[in-house]
Amino acid sequence: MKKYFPGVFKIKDKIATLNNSPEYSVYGEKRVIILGKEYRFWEPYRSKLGAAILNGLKQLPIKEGSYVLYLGAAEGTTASHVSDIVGEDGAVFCVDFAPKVMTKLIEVCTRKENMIPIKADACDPQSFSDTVIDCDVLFQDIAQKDQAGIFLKNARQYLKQGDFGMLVIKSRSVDVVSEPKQVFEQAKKDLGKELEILQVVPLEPYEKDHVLILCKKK
Amino acid sequence: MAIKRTQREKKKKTGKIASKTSKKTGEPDKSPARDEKRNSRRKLSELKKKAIAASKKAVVEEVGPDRLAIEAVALYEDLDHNINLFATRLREWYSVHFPEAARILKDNREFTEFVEKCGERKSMTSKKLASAGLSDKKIESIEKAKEGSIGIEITRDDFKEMQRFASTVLAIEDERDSVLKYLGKKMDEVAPNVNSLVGETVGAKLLARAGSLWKLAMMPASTIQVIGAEKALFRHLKNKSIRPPKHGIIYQFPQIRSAPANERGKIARALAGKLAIAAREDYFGNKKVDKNLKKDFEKRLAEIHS
Repeated sequence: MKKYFPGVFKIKDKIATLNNSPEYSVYGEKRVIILGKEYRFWEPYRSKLGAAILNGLKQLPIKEGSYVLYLGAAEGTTASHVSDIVGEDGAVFCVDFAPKVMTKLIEVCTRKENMIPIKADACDPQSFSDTVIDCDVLFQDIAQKDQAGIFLKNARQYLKQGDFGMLVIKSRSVDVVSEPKQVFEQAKKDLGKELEILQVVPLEPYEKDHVLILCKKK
Repeated sequence: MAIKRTQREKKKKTGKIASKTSKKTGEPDKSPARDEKRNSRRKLSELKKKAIAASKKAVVEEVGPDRLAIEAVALYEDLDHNINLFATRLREWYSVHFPEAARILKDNREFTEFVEKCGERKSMTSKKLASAGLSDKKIESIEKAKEGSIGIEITRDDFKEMQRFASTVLAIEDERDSVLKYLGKKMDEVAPNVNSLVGETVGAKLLARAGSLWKLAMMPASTIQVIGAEKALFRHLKNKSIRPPKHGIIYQFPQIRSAPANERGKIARALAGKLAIAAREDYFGNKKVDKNLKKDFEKRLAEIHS
Protein backbone atom coordinates (compact mmCIF):
# COMPACT_ATOMS: atom_id res chain seq x y z
CA MET A 1 0.00 0.00 0.00
CA LYS A 2 1.21 3.48 -0.82
CA LYS A 3 2.13 5.77 2.00
CA TYR A 4 2.58 9.48 2.45
CA PHE A 5 4.50 8.87 5.65
CA PRO A 6 4.89 5.84 7.90
CA GLY A 7 1.41 5.31 9.31
CA VAL A 8 -0.28 7.64 6.81
CA PHE A 9 -1.65 5.66 3.88
CA LYS A 10 -2.75 6.63 0.41
CA ILE A 11 -5.96 4.91 -0.61
CA LYS A 12 -7.55 6.02 -3.88
CA ASP A 13 -5.76 9.39 -3.70
CA LYS A 14 -7.14 10.02 -0.25
CA ILE A 15 -5.27 9.91 3.02
CA ALA A 16 -6.13 7.36 5.66
CA THR A 17 -4.80 5.96 8.89
CA LEU A 18 -4.97 2.49 10.39
CA ASN A 19 -7.88 2.53 12.81
CA ASN A 20 -6.76 1.54 16.28
CA SER A 21 -10.36 1.36 17.49
CA PRO A 22 -12.06 -0.79 14.83
CA GLU A 23 -15.68 -0.08 13.96
CA TYR A 24 -15.51 3.33 15.59
CA SER A 25 -15.83 6.43 13.48
CA VAL A 26 -14.94 9.63 15.31
CA TYR A 27 -16.46 12.38 13.20
CA GLY A 28 -18.49 10.45 10.64
CA GLU A 29 -15.53 9.70 8.40
CA LYS A 30 -15.69 6.70 6.06
CA ARG A 31 -13.90 3.50 6.90
CA VAL A 32 -12.58 0.79 4.62
CA ILE A 33 -11.29 -2.72 5.29
CA ILE A 34 -8.26 -3.80 3.27
CA LEU A 35 -6.68 -7.19 3.89
CA GLY A 36 -8.42 -7.55 7.22
CA LYS A 37 -7.28 -4.19 8.55
CA GLU A 38 -9.57 -1.23 9.00
CA TYR A 39 -8.52 2.18 7.77
CA ARG A 40 -10.16 5.54 8.46
CA PHE A 41 -10.17 8.20 5.78
CA TRP A 42 -8.73 11.51 6.85
CA GLU A 43 -10.92 14.43 5.81
CA PRO A 44 -8.65 17.38 4.85
CA TYR A 45 -11.49 19.88 4.99
CA ARG A 46 -11.97 19.10 8.66
CA SER A 47 -8.40 18.51 9.76
CA LYS A 48 -5.58 20.96 9.23
CA LEU A 49 -2.84 18.37 9.59
CA GLY A 50 -4.59 16.31 6.92
CA ALA A 51 -4.70 19.37 4.67
CA ALA A 52 -1.00 20.02 5.25
CA ILE A 53 -0.10 16.44 4.27
CA LEU A 54 -1.99 16.82 1.00
CA ASN A 55 -0.39 20.21 0.40
CA GLY A 56 3.13 18.80 0.46
CA LEU A 57 4.36 18.56 4.03
CA LYS A 58 7.96 17.33 3.67
CA GLN A 59 8.38 15.63 6.98
CA LEU A 60 6.00 14.23 9.58
CA PRO A 61 7.64 14.08 12.99
CA ILE A 62 4.68 12.19 14.45
CA LYS A 63 5.71 8.54 14.22
CA GLU A 64 4.89 5.20 15.73
CA GLY A 65 5.56 5.40 19.44
CA SER A 66 5.72 9.21 19.64
CA TYR A 67 4.36 11.07 22.62
CA VAL A 68 2.43 13.99 21.22
CA LEU A 69 1.21 17.03 23.12
CA TYR A 70 -1.80 18.28 21.17
CA LEU A 71 -2.97 21.77 22.11
CA GLY A 72 -6.45 22.66 20.89
CA ALA A 73 -7.73 19.13 20.31
CA ALA A 74 -11.37 20.31 20.08
CA GLU A 75 -13.58 17.30 19.35
CA GLY A 76 -10.61 15.07 18.64
CA THR A 77 -10.93 15.04 14.84
CA THR A 78 -7.25 15.43 14.02
CA ALA A 79 -6.14 14.06 17.36
CA SER A 80 -7.81 10.73 16.59
CA HIS A 81 -5.73 10.35 13.42
CA VAL A 82 -2.59 11.27 15.36
CA SER A 83 -3.63 8.58 17.82
CA ASP A 84 -3.84 6.08 14.94
CA ILE A 85 -0.34 7.01 13.75
CA VAL A 86 1.44 6.79 17.10
CA GLY A 87 -0.14 3.41 17.81
CA GLU A 88 -0.32 1.60 21.10
CA ASP A 89 3.21 2.53 22.18
CA GLY A 90 2.61 6.22 21.75
CA ALA A 91 0.35 8.68 23.50
CA VAL A 92 -1.59 11.80 22.59
CA PHE A 93 -2.20 14.37 25.31
CA CYS A 94 -5.22 16.34 24.16
CA VAL A 95 -5.58 19.77 25.69
CA ASP A 96 -8.66 21.89 25.23
CA PHE A 97 -10.44 24.57 27.14
CA ALA A 98 -14.07 24.71 26.00
CA PRO A 99 -16.50 22.54 27.99
CA LYS A 100 -18.75 21.92 24.98
CA VAL A 101 -16.12 20.18 22.86
CA MET A 102 -14.61 18.54 25.92
CA THR A 103 -17.62 16.26 26.41
CA LYS A 104 -17.13 14.86 22.91
CA LEU A 105 -13.37 14.68 23.37
CA ILE A 106 -13.72 12.63 26.55
CA GLU A 107 -15.97 10.21 24.69
CA VAL A 108 -13.38 9.82 21.92
CA CYS A 109 -10.64 9.35 24.51
CA THR A 110 -12.50 6.49 26.15
CA ARG A 111 -12.62 4.72 22.77
CA LYS A 112 -9.05 5.49 21.73
CA GLU A 113 -6.69 3.75 24.08
CA ASN A 114 -3.75 6.15 23.77
CA MET A 115 -5.55 9.49 23.94
CA ILE A 116 -5.58 11.38 27.21
CA PRO A 117 -7.91 14.36 27.72
CA ILE A 118 -6.80 17.41 29.67
CA LYS A 119 -9.14 20.31 30.30
CA ALA A 120 -6.77 23.21 30.66
CA ASP A 121 -5.78 26.50 29.10
CA ALA A 122 -2.92 26.14 26.61
CA CYS A 123 -1.65 29.58 27.68
CA ASP A 124 -0.60 28.07 30.99
CA PRO A 125 1.69 25.08 30.28
CA GLN A 126 2.45 24.64 33.97
CA SER A 127 -1.15 23.70 34.70
CA PHE A 128 -0.95 20.36 32.86
CA SER A 129 2.69 19.47 33.49
CA ASP A 130 1.70 16.77 35.98
CA THR A 131 -0.20 14.81 33.34
CA VAL A 132 2.11 15.26 30.37
CA ILE A 133 4.89 12.91 31.47
CA ASP A 134 6.82 13.01 28.23
CA CYS A 135 6.60 14.85 24.93
CA ASP A 136 8.34 14.21 21.63
CA VAL A 137 6.22 16.35 19.35
CA LEU A 138 4.23 19.47 20.07
CA PHE A 139 1.20 20.18 17.89
CA GLN A 140 -0.86 23.31 18.28
CA ASP A 141 -4.08 24.37 16.62
CA ILE A 142 -5.81 26.98 18.72
CA ALA A 143 -7.86 30.02 17.87
CA GLN A 144 -6.37 32.56 20.22
CA LYS A 145 -4.68 35.82 19.67
CA ASP A 146 -1.10 35.12 20.73
CA GLN A 147 -0.65 31.82 18.88
CA ALA A 148 3.10 32.06 18.38
CA GLY A 149 3.67 33.20 21.97
CA ILE A 150 1.66 30.31 23.42
CA PHE A 151 3.54 27.87 21.21
CA LEU A 152 6.91 29.20 22.39
CA LYS A 153 5.83 28.97 26.02
CA ASN A 154 4.89 25.32 25.56
CA ALA A 155 7.99 24.57 23.50
CA ARG A 156 10.18 25.91 26.31
CA GLN A 157 8.38 23.75 28.83
CA TYR A 158 8.04 20.47 26.96
CA LEU A 159 10.41 20.20 23.99
CA LYS A 160 13.96 18.98 24.20
CA GLN A 161 16.66 20.07 21.79
CA GLY A 162 16.06 18.61 18.34
CA ASP A 163 12.39 17.86 18.99
CA PHE A 164 9.83 18.89 16.43
CA GLY A 165 6.86 21.16 16.75
CA MET A 166 4.00 21.97 14.44
CA LEU A 167 1.60 24.81 14.75
CA VAL A 168 -1.28 26.11 12.73
CA ILE A 169 -1.46 29.86 12.44
CA LYS A 170 -4.95 31.15 11.91
CA SER A 171 -4.49 34.71 10.79
CA ARG A 172 -8.10 35.67 11.49
CA SER A 173 -7.65 34.96 15.19
CA VAL A 174 -4.42 36.92 15.46
CA ASP A 175 -5.68 40.04 13.78
CA VAL A 176 -8.80 40.36 11.66
CA VAL A 177 -7.73 43.64 10.20
CA SER A 178 -4.22 43.15 8.83
CA GLU A 179 -3.20 41.09 5.82
CA PRO A 180 -2.70 37.36 6.46
CA LYS A 181 0.77 37.53 4.87
CA GLN A 182 1.93 40.07 7.42
CA VAL A 183 0.55 37.95 10.25
CA PHE A 184 2.43 34.89 9.01
CA GLU A 185 5.67 36.85 8.61
CA GLN A 186 5.36 38.20 12.14
CA ALA A 187 4.72 34.71 13.50
CA LYS A 188 7.77 33.35 11.66
CA LYS A 189 9.88 36.14 13.09
CA ASP A 190 8.70 35.45 16.63
CA LEU A 191 9.24 31.71 16.33
CA GLY A 192 12.60 32.06 14.59
CA LYS A 193 14.28 33.34 17.74
CA GLU A 194 14.07 30.00 19.48
CA LEU A 195 13.06 27.52 16.82
CA GLU A 196 14.39 26.54 13.45
CA ILE A 197 11.63 26.84 10.88
CA LEU A 198 11.76 23.93 8.44
CA GLN A 199 8.65 24.46 6.34
CA VAL A 200 5.63 26.67 6.02
CA VAL A 201 2.68 24.91 4.38
CA PRO A 202 -0.27 27.00 3.19
CA LEU A 203 -3.56 25.19 3.74
CA GLU A 204 -5.47 26.53 0.74
CA PRO A 205 -7.98 25.44 -0.53
CA TYR A 206 -8.96 23.43 2.55
CA GLU A 207 -8.72 26.33 5.00
CA LYS A 208 -8.66 30.02 4.23
CA ASP A 209 -5.89 32.22 5.68
CA HIS A 210 -4.19 29.38 7.53
CA VAL A 211 -0.64 28.03 7.41
CA LEU A 212 1.01 25.12 9.16
CA ILE A 213 4.54 25.75 10.38
CA LEU A 214 6.91 22.85 10.94
CA CYS A 215 9.83 23.67 13.21
CA LYS A 216 12.57 22.14 15.30
CA LYS A 217 13.93 23.25 18.63
CA LYS A 218 17.41 24.76 18.34
CA MET B 1 -2.31 -5.64 -20.60
CA ALA B 2 0.50 -3.16 -20.43
CA ILE B 3 -1.29 -1.18 -17.74
CA LYS B 4 -1.91 -4.28 -15.72
CA ARG B 5 1.74 -5.23 -15.85
CA THR B 6 2.91 -1.85 -14.62
CA GLN B 7 0.41 -2.05 -11.81
CA ARG B 8 1.77 -5.42 -10.84
CA GLU B 9 5.30 -4.09 -10.92
CA LYS B 10 4.25 -1.20 -8.73
CA LYS B 11 2.67 -3.62 -6.30
CA LYS B 12 5.90 -5.56 -6.15
CA LYS B 13 7.86 -2.42 -5.49
CA THR B 14 5.58 -1.19 -2.75
CA GLY B 15 5.60 -4.65 -1.28
CA LYS B 16 9.38 -4.51 -1.09
CA ILE B 17 9.29 -1.12 0.59
CA ALA B 18 6.72 -2.32 3.06
CA SER B 19 8.82 -5.29 4.03
CA LYS B 20 11.82 -3.00 4.49
CA THR B 21 9.95 -0.68 6.81
CA SER B 22 8.57 -3.53 8.82
CA LYS B 23 12.14 -4.67 9.36
CA LYS B 24 13.10 -1.18 10.39
CA THR B 25 10.29 -0.81 12.88
CA GLY B 26 10.97 -4.28 14.12
CA GLU B 27 14.48 -3.33 15.21
CA PRO B 28 13.87 -0.85 18.02
CA ASP B 29 11.73 -3.44 19.78
CA LYS B 30 14.82 -4.75 21.51
CA SER B 31 16.27 -1.35 22.40
CA PRO B 32 16.16 -0.25 26.04
CA ALA B 33 14.39 3.00 25.15
CA ARG B 34 11.39 1.03 23.93
CA ASP B 35 11.31 -1.05 27.12
CA GLU B 36 11.31 2.09 29.17
CA LYS B 37 8.30 3.36 27.29
CA ARG B 38 6.58 0.01 27.66
CA ASN B 39 6.94 0.32 31.39
CA SER B 40 5.55 3.80 31.32
CA ARG B 41 2.57 2.35 29.45
CA ARG B 42 1.17 1.02 32.69
CA LYS B 43 1.79 4.35 34.33
CA LEU B 44 0.06 5.99 31.42
CA SER B 45 -3.17 4.02 31.74
CA GLU B 46 -3.43 5.01 35.39
CA LEU B 47 -2.72 8.58 34.41
CA LYS B 48 -5.44 8.41 31.81
CA LYS B 49 -8.03 7.30 34.32
CA LYS B 50 -7.18 10.25 36.52
CA ALA B 51 -7.12 12.67 33.60
CA ILE B 52 -10.55 11.58 32.39
CA ALA B 53 -12.03 11.96 35.87
CA ALA B 54 -10.43 15.38 36.30
CA SER B 55 -11.60 16.71 32.95
CA LYS B 56 -15.12 15.38 33.51
CA LYS B 57 -15.22 17.18 36.82
CA ALA B 58 -13.91 20.38 35.26
CA VAL B 59 -16.59 20.27 32.57
CA VAL B 60 -19.36 19.77 35.14
CA GLU B 61 -18.09 22.63 37.26
CA GLU B 62 -18.09 25.03 34.36
CA VAL B 63 -21.78 24.59 33.50
CA GLY B 64 -24.01 26.68 35.75
CA PRO B 65 -27.74 27.44 35.93
CA ASP B 66 -27.18 30.19 33.34
CA ARG B 67 -27.02 27.42 30.73
CA LEU B 68 -30.70 26.65 31.46
CA ALA B 69 -31.65 30.24 30.71
CA ILE B 70 -29.60 30.12 27.50
CA GLU B 71 -31.31 26.94 26.33
CA ALA B 72 -34.72 28.34 27.25
CA VAL B 73 -34.22 31.51 25.22
CA ALA B 74 -33.02 29.46 22.25
CA LEU B 75 -36.18 27.38 22.48
CA TYR B 76 -38.28 30.53 22.78
CA GLU B 77 -36.72 31.97 19.64
CA ASP B 78 -37.23 28.72 17.72
CA LEU B 79 -40.87 28.50 18.77
CA ASP B 80 -41.49 32.13 17.88
CA HIS B 81 -39.93 31.69 14.47
CA ASN B 82 -41.97 28.59 13.74
CA ILE B 83 -45.23 30.12 14.92
CA ASN B 84 -44.78 32.92 12.42
CA LEU B 85 -43.98 30.40 9.72
CA PHE B 86 -47.01 28.22 10.49
CA ALA B 87 -49.41 31.12 10.89
CA THR B 88 -48.39 32.43 7.49
CA ARG B 89 -48.90 28.98 6.01
CA LEU B 90 -52.35 28.77 7.58
CA ARG B 91 -53.22 32.17 6.15
CA GLU B 92 -52.27 31.04 2.65
CA TRP B 93 -54.16 27.81 3.02
CA TYR B 94 -57.32 29.37 4.43
CA SER B 95 -57.30 32.12 1.82
CA VAL B 96 -58.38 29.54 -0.73
CA HIS B 97 -61.70 29.41 1.08
CA PHE B 98 -62.15 32.93 2.44
CA PRO B 99 -59.38 35.39 1.46
CA GLU B 100 -61.23 38.44 2.78
CA ALA B 101 -61.13 37.24 6.39
CA ALA B 102 -57.39 36.65 6.16
CA ARG B 103 -57.04 40.26 5.13
CA ILE B 104 -59.33 41.65 7.85
CA LEU B 105 -57.69 39.76 10.71
CA LYS B 106 -54.10 40.99 10.62
CA ASP B 107 -53.02 39.59 13.98
CA ASN B 108 -51.77 36.00 13.73
CA ARG B 109 -53.15 34.84 17.07
CA GLU B 110 -56.56 36.36 16.37
CA PHE B 111 -56.66 34.83 12.92
CA THR B 112 -55.63 31.36 14.10
CA GLU B 113 -58.27 31.39 16.81
CA PHE B 114 -60.86 32.51 14.28
CA VAL B 115 -60.03 29.60 11.96
CA GLU B 116 -60.13 27.10 14.80
CA LYS B 117 -63.47 28.27 16.26
CA CYS B 118 -65.56 29.40 13.30
CA GLY B 119 -63.66 29.18 10.04
CA GLU B 120 -66.29 27.58 7.80
CA ARG B 121 -68.20 30.17 5.84
CA LYS B 122 -71.41 28.17 5.72
CA SER B 123 -71.85 27.80 9.47
CA MET B 124 -70.43 31.17 10.43
CA THR B 125 -72.76 33.10 12.73
CA SER B 126 -72.19 36.36 14.57
CA LYS B 127 -72.56 34.45 17.82
CA LYS B 128 -69.76 32.12 16.86
CA LEU B 129 -67.63 35.03 15.75
CA ALA B 130 -68.13 36.76 19.08
CA SER B 131 -67.07 33.58 20.88
CA ALA B 132 -63.74 33.73 19.02
CA GLY B 133 -63.12 37.01 20.83
CA LEU B 134 -63.43 39.36 17.87
CA SER B 135 -64.47 42.99 18.18
CA ASP B 136 -67.87 44.11 16.90
CA LYS B 137 -66.32 46.08 14.08
CA LYS B 138 -64.41 43.08 12.80
CA ILE B 139 -67.45 40.82 13.13
CA GLU B 140 -69.42 43.26 11.05
CA SER B 141 -66.85 43.46 8.27
CA ILE B 142 -66.42 39.68 8.17
CA GLU B 143 -70.20 39.21 7.93
CA LYS B 144 -70.27 41.66 5.07
CA ALA B 145 -67.35 40.03 3.25
CA LYS B 146 -68.93 36.60 3.64
CA GLU B 147 -71.69 37.38 1.17
CA GLY B 148 -69.56 38.23 -1.82
CA SER B 149 -66.46 36.17 -1.05
CA ILE B 150 -64.33 35.12 -4.00
CA GLY B 151 -63.04 32.02 -2.19
CA ILE B 152 -64.03 28.56 -3.35
CA GLU B 153 -66.31 26.18 -1.48
CA ILE B 154 -64.56 23.47 0.49
CA THR B 155 -65.74 20.19 1.96
CA ARG B 156 -66.09 19.34 5.61
CA ASP B 157 -62.91 17.19 5.39
CA ASP B 158 -60.86 20.01 3.94
CA PHE B 159 -61.91 22.31 6.70
CA LYS B 160 -61.29 19.76 9.45
CA GLU B 161 -57.68 19.49 8.35
CA MET B 162 -57.25 23.28 8.54
CA GLN B 163 -58.92 23.39 11.90
CA ARG B 164 -56.60 20.75 13.31
CA PHE B 165 -53.54 22.60 12.07
CA ALA B 166 -54.86 25.84 13.59
CA SER B 167 -55.25 24.19 16.98
CA THR B 168 -51.68 22.85 16.72
CA VAL B 169 -50.41 26.37 16.07
CA LEU B 170 -52.37 27.61 19.08
CA ALA B 171 -50.85 24.85 21.21
CA ILE B 172 -47.37 25.90 20.12
CA GLU B 173 -48.25 29.48 21.03
CA ASP B 174 -49.24 28.35 24.51
CA GLU B 175 -45.97 26.46 24.73
CA ARG B 176 -44.07 29.61 23.81
CA ASP B 177 -45.88 31.62 26.45
CA SER B 178 -45.07 29.10 29.14
CA VAL B 179 -41.41 28.96 28.04
CA LEU B 180 -41.33 32.73 28.31
CA LYS B 181 -42.70 32.56 31.83
CA TYR B 182 -40.13 29.95 32.77
CA LEU B 183 -37.40 32.06 31.21
CA GLY B 184 -38.46 35.06 33.26
CA LYS B 185 -38.28 33.01 36.44
CA LYS B 186 -34.89 31.56 35.51
CA MET B 187 -33.45 34.95 34.60
CA ASP B 188 -34.65 36.35 37.89
CA GLU B 189 -32.69 33.64 39.68
CA VAL B 190 -29.57 33.73 37.53
CA ALA B 191 -29.20 37.40 36.63
CA PRO B 192 -31.79 39.55 38.44
CA ASN B 193 -30.10 42.85 37.66
CA VAL B 194 -29.78 42.21 33.94
CA ASN B 195 -33.35 40.95 33.97
CA SER B 196 -34.76 44.05 35.66
CA LEU B 197 -32.84 46.33 33.33
CA VAL B 198 -33.67 44.87 29.90
CA GLY B 199 -36.18 42.08 30.50
CA GLU B 200 -35.84 38.34 30.17
CA THR B 201 -35.59 37.85 26.41
CA VAL B 202 -32.97 40.50 25.65
CA GLY B 203 -31.06 39.60 28.81
CA ALA B 204 -31.01 35.89 28.01
CA LYS B 205 -30.02 36.55 24.40
CA LEU B 206 -27.06 38.56 25.65
CA LEU B 207 -26.12 35.66 27.92
CA ALA B 208 -26.43 33.23 25.03
CA ARG B 209 -24.20 35.31 22.76
CA ALA B 210 -21.61 35.81 25.49
CA GLY B 211 -21.66 32.10 26.39
CA SER B 212 -22.17 32.36 30.13
CA LEU B 213 -22.85 34.86 32.87
CA TRP B 214 -19.18 34.83 33.79
CA LYS B 215 -18.18 35.75 30.25
CA LEU B 216 -20.79 38.50 30.13
CA ALA B 217 -19.56 39.86 33.44
CA MET B 218 -16.02 39.98 32.04
CA MET B 219 -17.04 41.99 29.00
CA PRO B 220 -16.48 45.72 28.74
CA ALA B 221 -19.59 47.83 28.18
CA SER B 222 -18.48 48.68 24.64
CA THR B 223 -18.51 45.00 23.72
CA ILE B 224 -21.93 44.44 25.28
CA GLN B 225 -23.22 47.34 23.22
CA VAL B 226 -22.40 45.60 19.93
CA ILE B 227 -22.91 41.90 20.79
CA GLY B 228 -24.83 40.48 17.88
CA ALA B 229 -23.58 43.10 15.42
CA GLU B 230 -20.27 41.35 14.74
CA LYS B 231 -20.61 41.54 10.99
CA ALA B 232 -21.02 45.31 11.02
CA LEU B 233 -18.29 45.69 13.63
CA PHE B 234 -15.68 43.77 11.65
CA ARG B 235 -16.68 45.54 8.47
CA HIS B 236 -15.86 48.76 10.29
CA LEU B 237 -12.58 47.43 11.71
CA LYS B 238 -11.41 46.38 8.25
CA ASN B 239 -12.37 49.64 6.64
CA LYS B 240 -12.41 52.63 8.93
CA SER B 241 -14.44 54.78 6.55
CA ILE B 242 -17.48 52.58 7.30
CA ARG B 243 -19.02 53.66 10.58
CA PRO B 244 -19.23 51.26 13.52
CA PRO B 245 -22.54 49.73 14.63
CA LYS B 246 -24.43 51.54 17.37
CA HIS B 247 -26.15 48.50 18.82
CA GLY B 248 -26.35 44.74 18.53
CA ILE B 249 -28.85 42.64 20.41
CA ILE B 250 -29.75 45.54 22.70
CA TYR B 251 -31.49 47.10 19.72
CA GLN B 252 -34.40 44.82 20.65
CA PHE B 253 -34.80 46.80 23.86
CA PRO B 254 -38.02 48.78 23.21
CA GLN B 255 -36.68 52.15 24.28
CA ILE B 256 -33.83 51.92 21.78
CA ARG B 257 -35.90 50.56 18.94
CA SER B 258 -38.54 53.25 19.29
CA ALA B 259 -36.09 56.13 19.73
CA PRO B 260 -35.23 58.45 16.84
CA ALA B 261 -32.11 57.38 14.93
CA ASN B 262 -29.90 60.16 16.25
CA GLU B 263 -30.58 59.19 19.87
CA ARG B 264 -30.26 55.43 19.54
CA GLY B 265 -26.49 55.38 19.79
CA LYS B 266 -26.52 57.43 22.96
CA ILE B 267 -29.17 55.31 24.62
CA ALA B 268 -27.39 52.12 23.55
CA ARG B 269 -24.15 53.39 25.08
CA ALA B 270 -25.85 54.31 28.35
CA LEU B 271 -27.72 51.02 28.54
CA ALA B 272 -24.62 48.95 27.76
CA GLY B 273 -22.75 50.71 30.55
CA LYS B 274 -25.45 49.86 33.05
CA LEU B 275 -25.69 46.30 31.71
CA ALA B 276 -21.99 45.75 32.30
CA ILE B 277 -22.39 46.80 35.92
CA ALA B 278 -25.54 44.69 36.25
CA ALA B 279 -23.84 41.56 34.92
CA ARG B 280 -20.97 41.99 37.34
CA GLU B 281 -23.32 42.50 40.26
CA ASP B 282 -25.18 39.37 39.24
CA TYR B 283 -22.06 37.27 39.02
CA PHE B 284 -20.13 38.55 42.01
CA GLY B 285 -22.88 40.07 44.13
CA ASN B 286 -25.61 38.52 46.25
CA LYS B 287 -28.24 38.26 43.49
CA LYS B 288 -30.32 41.17 44.66
CA VAL B 289 -31.78 43.81 42.41
CA ASP B 290 -29.93 47.10 42.63
CA LYS B 291 -32.63 49.71 42.13
CA ASN B 292 -30.15 52.51 41.48
CA LEU B 293 -29.13 50.97 38.17
CA LYS B 294 -32.54 51.35 36.61
CA LYS B 295 -33.08 54.76 38.17
CA ASP B 296 -29.75 56.07 36.85
CA PHE B 297 -30.49 54.72 33.41
CA GLU B 298 -33.91 56.35 33.34
CA LYS B 299 -32.39 59.63 34.43
CA ARG B 300 -29.90 59.44 31.58
CA LEU B 301 -32.70 58.51 29.20
CA ALA B 302 -34.59 61.65 30.18
CA GLU B 303 -31.43 63.71 29.65
CA ILE B 304 -30.99 62.31 26.15
CA HIS B 305 -34.62 62.92 25.26
CA SER B 306 -34.61 66.55 26.45
